[in-house]
Amino acid sequence: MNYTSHVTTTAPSPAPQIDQADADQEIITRVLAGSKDAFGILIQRYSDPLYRHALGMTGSPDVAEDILQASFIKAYQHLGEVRGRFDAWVFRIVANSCKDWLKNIRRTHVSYEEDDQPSSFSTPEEEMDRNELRTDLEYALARLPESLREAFVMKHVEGRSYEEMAVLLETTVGALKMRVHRAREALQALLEEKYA
Amino acid sequence: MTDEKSEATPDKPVYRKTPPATPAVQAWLDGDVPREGLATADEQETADLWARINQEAETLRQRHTPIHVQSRILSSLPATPTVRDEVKEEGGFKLSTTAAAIGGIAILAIGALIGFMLVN
Repeated sequence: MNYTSHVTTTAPSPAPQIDQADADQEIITRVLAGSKDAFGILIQRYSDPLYRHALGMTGSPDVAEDILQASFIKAYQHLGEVRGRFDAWVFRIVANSCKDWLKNIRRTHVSYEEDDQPSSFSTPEEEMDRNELRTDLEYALARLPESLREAFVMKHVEGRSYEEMAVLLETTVGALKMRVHRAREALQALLEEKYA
Repeated sequence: MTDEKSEATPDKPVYRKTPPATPAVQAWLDGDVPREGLATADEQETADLWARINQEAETLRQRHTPIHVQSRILSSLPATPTVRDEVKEEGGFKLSTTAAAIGGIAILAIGALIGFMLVN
Protein backbone atom coordinates (compact mmCIF):
# COMPACT_ATOMS: atom_id res chain seq x y z
CA MET A 1 0.00 0.00 0.00
CA ASN A 2 1.30 3.39 -0.88
CA TYR A 3 1.04 5.40 2.31
CA THR A 4 1.97 8.84 1.04
CA SER A 5 0.18 11.50 3.04
CA HIS A 6 -1.88 14.22 1.45
CA VAL A 7 -2.23 16.75 4.20
CA THR A 8 -2.95 20.43 3.80
CA THR A 9 -3.08 23.00 6.52
CA THR A 10 -4.45 26.40 7.32
CA ALA A 11 -2.22 27.25 10.24
CA PRO A 12 -2.15 30.81 11.59
CA SER A 13 0.61 33.24 10.69
CA PRO A 14 3.68 33.31 12.93
CA ALA A 15 4.13 36.06 15.46
CA PRO A 16 6.71 38.58 14.21
CA GLN A 17 10.05 38.58 16.00
CA ILE A 18 10.73 42.22 15.39
CA ASP A 19 12.32 42.91 18.77
CA GLN A 20 14.79 40.07 18.42
CA ALA A 21 15.61 41.03 14.84
CA ASP A 22 16.22 44.64 15.88
CA ALA A 23 18.44 43.52 18.74
CA ASP A 24 20.41 41.32 16.36
CA GLN A 25 20.76 44.18 13.90
CA GLU A 26 22.19 46.42 16.62
CA ILE A 27 24.79 43.80 17.42
CA ILE A 28 25.64 43.37 13.75
CA THR A 29 26.17 47.11 13.47
CA ARG A 30 28.57 46.99 16.42
CA VAL A 31 30.49 44.08 14.94
CA LEU A 32 30.79 45.78 11.58
CA ALA A 33 32.04 48.89 13.38
CA GLY A 34 34.91 46.83 14.76
CA SER A 35 33.59 45.21 17.94
CA LYS A 36 34.58 41.63 17.32
CA ASP A 37 33.53 40.57 20.82
CA ALA A 38 29.95 41.61 20.14
CA PHE A 39 29.70 38.70 17.75
CA GLY A 40 29.97 36.48 20.81
CA ILE A 41 26.48 37.60 21.82
CA LEU A 42 25.10 36.22 18.57
CA ILE A 43 27.03 32.98 19.04
CA GLN A 44 25.68 32.61 22.56
CA ARG A 45 22.16 33.45 21.45
CA TYR A 46 21.90 31.01 18.56
CA SER A 47 24.47 28.27 19.05
CA ASP A 48 22.16 25.86 20.92
CA PRO A 49 19.36 25.58 18.33
CA LEU A 50 21.90 25.50 15.51
CA TYR A 51 23.95 22.84 17.29
CA ARG A 52 20.84 20.73 17.82
CA HIS A 53 19.99 21.04 14.15
CA ALA A 54 23.47 19.99 13.06
CA LEU A 55 23.47 17.15 15.59
CA GLY A 56 20.07 15.93 14.46
CA MET A 57 21.06 16.07 10.82
CA THR A 58 24.51 14.50 11.10
CA GLY A 59 24.17 12.34 14.21
CA SER A 60 27.72 13.17 15.24
CA PRO A 61 28.61 15.66 18.01
CA ASP A 62 32.05 16.21 16.53
CA VAL A 63 30.69 16.95 13.08
CA ALA A 64 27.99 19.18 14.57
CA GLU A 65 30.65 21.20 16.41
CA ASP A 66 32.73 21.57 13.27
CA ILE A 67 29.74 22.64 11.20
CA LEU A 68 28.72 25.12 13.88
CA GLN A 69 32.20 26.63 14.01
CA ALA A 70 32.59 26.86 10.24
CA SER A 71 29.11 28.34 9.88
CA PHE A 72 29.66 31.08 12.46
CA ILE A 73 33.00 31.97 10.89
CA LYS A 74 31.32 32.19 7.49
CA ALA A 75 28.54 34.29 9.00
CA TYR A 76 31.09 36.62 10.57
CA GLN A 77 33.00 37.00 7.33
CA HIS A 78 29.83 37.84 5.39
CA LEU A 79 28.07 39.77 8.13
CA GLY A 80 27.80 42.85 5.96
CA GLU A 81 25.61 40.90 3.55
CA VAL A 82 22.86 40.05 6.05
CA ARG A 83 19.44 41.02 4.76
CA GLY A 84 16.46 40.33 6.98
CA ARG A 85 16.60 38.19 10.09
CA PHE A 86 20.05 37.11 11.23
CA ASP A 87 18.77 33.91 12.84
CA ALA A 88 17.13 32.76 9.61
CA TRP A 89 20.22 33.70 7.62
CA VAL A 90 22.68 31.86 9.85
CA PHE A 91 20.29 28.90 10.08
CA ARG A 92 20.43 28.53 6.31
CA ILE A 93 24.22 28.53 6.44
CA VAL A 94 24.16 25.69 8.97
CA ALA A 95 21.40 23.80 7.15
CA ASN A 96 23.28 23.99 3.85
CA SER A 97 26.49 22.87 5.55
CA CYS A 98 24.66 19.87 6.95
CA LYS A 99 23.30 18.98 3.53
CA ASP A 100 26.73 19.35 1.98
CA TRP A 101 28.16 17.05 4.64
CA LEU A 102 25.43 14.49 4.04
CA LYS A 103 26.10 14.57 0.33
CA ASN A 104 29.78 13.95 0.85
CA ILE A 105 29.64 11.47 3.69
CA ARG A 106 27.38 8.47 3.45
CA ARG A 107 27.27 6.54 6.65
CA THR A 108 25.60 3.29 7.56
CA HIS A 109 25.15 4.22 11.17
CA VAL A 110 25.13 7.45 13.11
CA SER A 111 25.94 7.61 16.78
CA TYR A 112 25.80 9.95 19.71
CA GLU A 113 28.16 7.72 21.68
CA GLU A 114 30.93 10.30 21.62
CA ASP A 115 28.62 12.77 23.29
CA ASP A 116 29.46 13.59 26.89
CA GLN A 117 26.05 14.94 27.85
CA PRO A 118 24.95 13.57 31.25
CA SER A 119 22.41 10.76 31.38
CA SER A 120 18.99 11.51 32.84
CA PHE A 121 17.65 7.97 32.97
CA SER A 122 16.28 6.78 36.31
CA THR A 123 17.37 3.13 36.10
CA PRO A 124 19.97 1.14 34.15
CA GLU A 125 17.14 -0.82 32.51
CA GLU A 126 15.45 2.34 31.36
CA GLU A 127 18.74 3.69 30.09
CA MET A 128 19.32 0.49 28.14
CA ASP A 129 15.84 0.61 26.59
CA ARG A 130 16.14 4.27 25.74
CA ASN A 131 19.61 3.86 24.31
CA GLU A 132 18.32 1.09 22.07
CA LEU A 133 15.41 3.21 20.89
CA ARG A 134 17.74 6.16 20.37
CA THR A 135 20.13 4.09 18.31
CA ASP A 136 17.29 2.72 16.22
CA LEU A 137 15.80 6.18 15.80
CA GLU A 138 19.15 7.57 14.66
CA TYR A 139 19.55 4.71 12.24
CA ALA A 140 16.05 5.26 10.88
CA LEU A 141 16.63 9.02 10.61
CA ALA A 142 19.83 8.41 8.67
CA ARG A 143 17.85 6.44 6.11
CA LEU A 144 15.44 9.29 5.39
CA PRO A 145 15.89 11.57 2.40
CA GLU A 146 17.55 14.86 3.44
CA SER A 147 14.44 16.98 3.04
CA LEU A 148 12.33 14.65 5.18
CA ARG A 149 15.04 14.28 7.81
CA GLU A 150 15.44 18.05 7.98
CA ALA A 151 11.72 18.58 8.43
CA PHE A 152 11.42 15.85 11.07
CA VAL A 153 14.42 17.08 13.04
CA MET A 154 13.17 20.66 13.04
CA LYS A 155 9.68 19.62 14.13
CA HIS A 156 10.30 16.82 16.62
CA VAL A 157 13.85 17.31 17.85
CA GLU A 158 14.13 21.10 17.74
CA GLY A 159 10.47 21.57 18.62
CA ARG A 160 9.87 24.33 16.09
CA SER A 161 6.43 25.35 14.88
CA TYR A 162 5.51 24.86 11.25
CA GLU A 163 5.34 28.63 10.88
CA GLU A 164 8.88 29.08 12.16
CA MET A 165 10.10 26.28 9.93
CA ALA A 166 8.45 27.93 6.93
CA VAL A 167 10.35 31.15 7.60
CA LEU A 168 13.67 29.40 8.08
CA LEU A 169 13.36 27.12 5.06
CA GLU A 170 11.61 29.69 2.88
CA THR A 171 8.72 27.42 1.96
CA THR A 172 5.07 26.97 2.86
CA VAL A 173 3.52 25.49 5.97
CA GLY A 174 1.58 23.04 3.83
CA ALA A 175 4.70 21.74 2.11
CA LEU A 176 6.43 21.30 5.45
CA LYS A 177 3.47 19.46 6.97
CA MET A 178 3.61 17.12 4.03
CA ARG A 179 7.32 16.49 4.58
CA VAL A 180 6.91 15.90 8.31
CA HIS A 181 3.99 13.55 7.77
CA ARG A 182 5.92 11.57 5.21
CA ALA A 183 8.95 11.47 7.49
CA ARG A 184 6.79 10.14 10.34
CA GLU A 185 5.32 7.46 8.14
CA ALA A 186 8.73 6.40 6.88
CA LEU A 187 10.16 6.33 10.41
CA GLN A 188 7.15 4.44 11.69
CA ALA A 189 7.58 1.87 8.96
CA LEU A 190 11.21 1.44 9.98
CA LEU A 191 10.58 1.28 13.72
CA GLU A 192 7.20 -0.31 14.23
CA GLU A 193 8.29 -3.89 13.56
CA LYS A 194 10.44 -3.71 16.65
CA TYR A 195 8.57 -1.30 18.85
CA ALA A 196 4.89 -1.37 17.90
CA MET B 1 33.02 5.32 3.52
CA THR B 2 30.25 4.75 1.04
CA ASP B 3 27.66 2.04 1.35
CA GLU B 4 25.19 2.09 -1.49
CA LYS B 5 22.60 0.13 0.47
CA SER B 6 22.55 2.72 3.21
CA GLU B 7 21.90 5.68 0.97
CA ALA B 8 18.59 7.44 1.32
CA THR B 9 16.08 6.97 -1.44
CA PRO B 10 14.43 10.37 -1.88
CA ASP B 11 10.74 10.58 -2.62
CA LYS B 12 10.26 6.86 -3.21
CA PRO B 13 7.00 5.54 -1.80
CA VAL B 14 7.42 3.09 1.06
CA TYR B 15 5.29 -0.04 1.19
CA ARG B 16 4.49 -1.88 4.37
CA LYS B 17 2.12 -4.39 5.88
CA THR B 18 0.50 -2.38 8.66
CA PRO B 19 -1.74 0.67 8.22
CA PRO B 20 0.03 4.06 8.11
CA ALA B 21 -0.45 6.81 10.65
CA THR B 22 -3.95 8.05 10.05
CA PRO B 23 -4.77 11.73 9.55
CA ALA B 24 -6.06 11.68 13.13
CA VAL B 25 -2.69 10.48 14.43
CA GLN B 26 -0.87 13.06 12.32
CA ALA B 27 -3.18 15.76 13.67
CA TRP B 28 -2.46 14.60 17.20
CA LEU B 29 1.28 14.66 16.54
CA ASP B 30 0.90 18.16 15.11
CA GLY B 31 -0.84 19.21 18.31
CA ASP B 32 -4.09 19.96 16.56
CA VAL B 33 -6.22 17.43 18.47
CA PRO B 34 -5.90 15.71 21.87
CA ARG B 35 -5.01 12.05 22.12
CA GLU B 36 -8.56 11.33 23.24
CA GLY B 37 -9.55 12.11 19.66
CA LEU B 38 -7.93 8.88 18.47
CA ALA B 39 -10.80 6.47 18.15
CA THR B 40 -9.46 3.12 17.01
CA ALA B 41 -7.18 0.60 18.66
CA ASP B 42 -4.76 0.90 15.73
CA GLU B 43 -4.54 4.63 16.27
CA GLN B 44 -3.91 4.17 19.98
CA GLU B 45 -1.19 1.63 19.22
CA THR B 46 0.46 4.02 16.78
CA ALA B 47 0.18 6.80 19.35
CA ASP B 48 1.97 4.63 21.91
CA LEU B 49 4.87 4.17 19.52
CA TRP B 50 5.04 7.88 18.83
CA ALA B 51 4.88 8.72 22.49
CA ARG B 52 8.10 6.75 22.93
CA ILE B 53 9.72 8.37 19.91
CA ASN B 54 8.70 11.82 21.11
CA GLN B 55 10.12 11.07 24.54
CA GLU B 56 13.45 10.35 22.91
CA ALA B 57 13.19 13.43 20.70
CA GLU B 58 12.51 15.48 23.81
CA THR B 59 15.79 14.23 25.27
CA LEU B 60 17.64 15.32 22.17
CA ARG B 61 15.95 18.72 22.43
CA GLN B 62 17.64 19.30 25.77
CA ARG B 63 21.11 19.17 24.21
CA HIS B 64 23.28 22.24 24.52
CA THR B 65 26.36 23.33 22.68
CA PRO B 66 29.41 22.04 24.55
CA ILE B 67 30.90 24.89 26.57
CA HIS B 68 34.26 24.86 24.86
CA VAL B 69 32.75 25.29 21.39
CA GLN B 70 31.59 28.87 21.79
CA SER B 71 34.99 30.07 22.97
CA ARG B 72 36.65 28.03 20.22
CA ILE B 73 34.51 29.77 17.61
CA LEU B 74 35.24 33.23 19.04
CA SER B 75 38.97 32.62 19.12
CA SER B 76 39.00 31.37 15.54
CA LEU B 77 37.20 34.36 14.03
CA PRO B 78 39.25 36.28 11.46
CA ALA B 79 40.29 39.85 12.16
CA THR B 80 37.72 41.51 9.95
CA PRO B 81 34.07 40.67 9.41
CA THR B 82 33.90 40.98 5.66
CA VAL B 83 35.62 38.87 3.05
CA ARG B 84 35.39 41.45 0.32
CA ASP B 85 37.64 43.90 2.11
CA GLU B 86 40.21 41.18 2.67
CA VAL B 87 40.17 40.27 -0.99
CA LYS B 88 40.74 43.87 -1.92
CA GLU B 89 43.68 44.10 0.44
CA GLU B 90 45.19 40.83 -0.62
CA GLY B 91 44.66 41.28 -4.32
CA GLY B 92 45.28 45.03 -4.46
CA PHE B 93 48.40 46.76 -5.85
CA LYS B 94 51.19 46.91 -3.29
CA LEU B 95 54.10 49.39 -3.71
CA SER B 96 57.28 48.94 -1.75
CA THR B 97 59.65 51.85 -0.93
CA THR B 98 62.31 50.55 -3.32
CA ALA B 99 59.83 50.14 -6.15
CA ALA B 100 58.53 53.67 -5.52
CA ALA B 101 62.08 55.09 -5.67
CA ILE B 102 62.87 53.24 -8.88
CA GLY B 103 59.58 54.36 -10.38
CA GLY B 104 60.26 57.97 -9.42
CA ILE B 105 63.74 57.89 -10.97
CA ALA B 106 62.35 56.34 -14.13
CA ILE B 107 59.70 59.05 -14.44
CA LEU B 108 62.34 61.76 -13.95
CA ALA B 109 64.58 60.13 -16.57
CA ILE B 110 61.72 59.93 -19.07
CA GLY B 111 60.84 63.56 -18.36
CA ALA B 112 64.44 64.63 -18.87
CA LEU B 113 64.62 62.65 -22.09
CA ILE B 114 61.43 64.23 -23.43
CA GLY B 115 62.69 67.69 -22.40
CA PHE B 116 66.02 67.08 -24.11
CA MET B 117 64.23 65.97 -27.32
CA LEU B 118 61.97 69.01 -27.27
CA VAL B 119 64.90 71.39 -26.84
CA ASN B 120 66.83 69.83 -29.68
